[in-house]
Amino acid sequence: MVVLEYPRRRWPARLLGLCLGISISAGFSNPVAASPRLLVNFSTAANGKIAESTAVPVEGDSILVVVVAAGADPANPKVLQGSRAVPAKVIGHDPVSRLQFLQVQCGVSTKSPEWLGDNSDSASTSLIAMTPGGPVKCRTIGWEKQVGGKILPLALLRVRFVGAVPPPGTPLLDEAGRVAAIVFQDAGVANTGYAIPADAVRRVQRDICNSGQLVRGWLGLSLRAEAQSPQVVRVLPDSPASAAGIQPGDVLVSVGSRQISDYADAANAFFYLIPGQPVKVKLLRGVDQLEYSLTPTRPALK
Amino acid sequence: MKPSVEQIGSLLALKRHERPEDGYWQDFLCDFHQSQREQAARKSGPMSFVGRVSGWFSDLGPSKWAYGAGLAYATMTVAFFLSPPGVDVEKTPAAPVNYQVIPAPAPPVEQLDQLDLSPSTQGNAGEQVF
Repeated sequence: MVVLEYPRRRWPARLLGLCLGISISAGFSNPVAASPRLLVNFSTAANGKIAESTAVPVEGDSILVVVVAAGADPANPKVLQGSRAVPAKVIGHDPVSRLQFLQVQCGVSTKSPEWLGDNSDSASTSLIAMTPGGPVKCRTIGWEKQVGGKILPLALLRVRFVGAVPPPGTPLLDEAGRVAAIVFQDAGVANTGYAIPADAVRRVQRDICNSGQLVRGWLGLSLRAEAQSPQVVRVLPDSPASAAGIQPGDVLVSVGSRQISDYADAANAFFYLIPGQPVKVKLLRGVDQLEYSLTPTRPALK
Repeated sequence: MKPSVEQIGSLLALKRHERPEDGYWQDFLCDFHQSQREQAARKSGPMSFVGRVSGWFSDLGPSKWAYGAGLAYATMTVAFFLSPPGVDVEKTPAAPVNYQVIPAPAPPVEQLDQLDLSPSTQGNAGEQVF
């Protein structure tokens, strides 16, 4: 006698189990998602309100980076993990990028996520914002170099979120789980915000953690902000640019790996210069393309 | 009892005496129409005016056609002289305009020292040294 057994449909259960397993493994592999949120409160001088920023570990579990909102007092940040106060010390604050780095005394139960490497392209990619309410999809929609008639000291990423813009400091992860940027502030347009790219955070961290302040590289070039093209207006004497032979009228083409198409691009590229670290500068002089290797110096030496 | 011949003769003479005279019915019809018009004229309103005019017109007899033709001719003549003459639209030659479109001045471009995106933030204009 043959017993015909009706095949049971177990695929939905298997699929559910697979999704659950992926979620759990992703939670364990992503330290930002698996741990309680780190929150930093700043008092504001203007109206006494509290400015908040999410803190993200940048090195081990002891150094955090936060965004200090405009008008907030960076002197006395209060670090909270969940409802627990975490003692922390200010390493340094960069007023240009508004980034602050904190040293927590006894560590937090959050491991530093992997950060995107230098010169990585963060634009035009799908990202995931690790908000307090959970992961939220977002997408970079370009660079913001200028707001109105004001050129930013460094270009920000313009990010469109699925839902409200998360608080400042919220990390934005790429598909590999690396931090590609952190939220800077709401752009004021529907579900759009600005984000500081990861290489800018690493650039500021390098100086803040070493000397307590950002030291920008100096070349001795001057450009006009209102000019259409990134043309050198003047070369300061006894400067790296003068020593290399750069002349007024030369047009910048690239600085390091960053292509220059206008003044705002040049200002952004100069933000990443590190004193003592050579950088290749490509120029146009007439129809000739020239390439120089310049070593930026500290501004105090000009 | 059958009437006698004399009685029949006197009855016929009486009937012949009661028949109206010639023209009686024509006068009766005219009097009837006249009384109708007078009754309508006593009523007020535009219809009564029309009725009076039409009554007056019908009372004119055969000469009403001559009056009607004269009235139509007079109306057309008055309309011809009162109608406004046609206006010739003269096209003026296109003249060159001396107006010059001046573009709005571009907002001054400033370099911000800090990432402060508030509208009141002041930057530095002109030459920037890097």
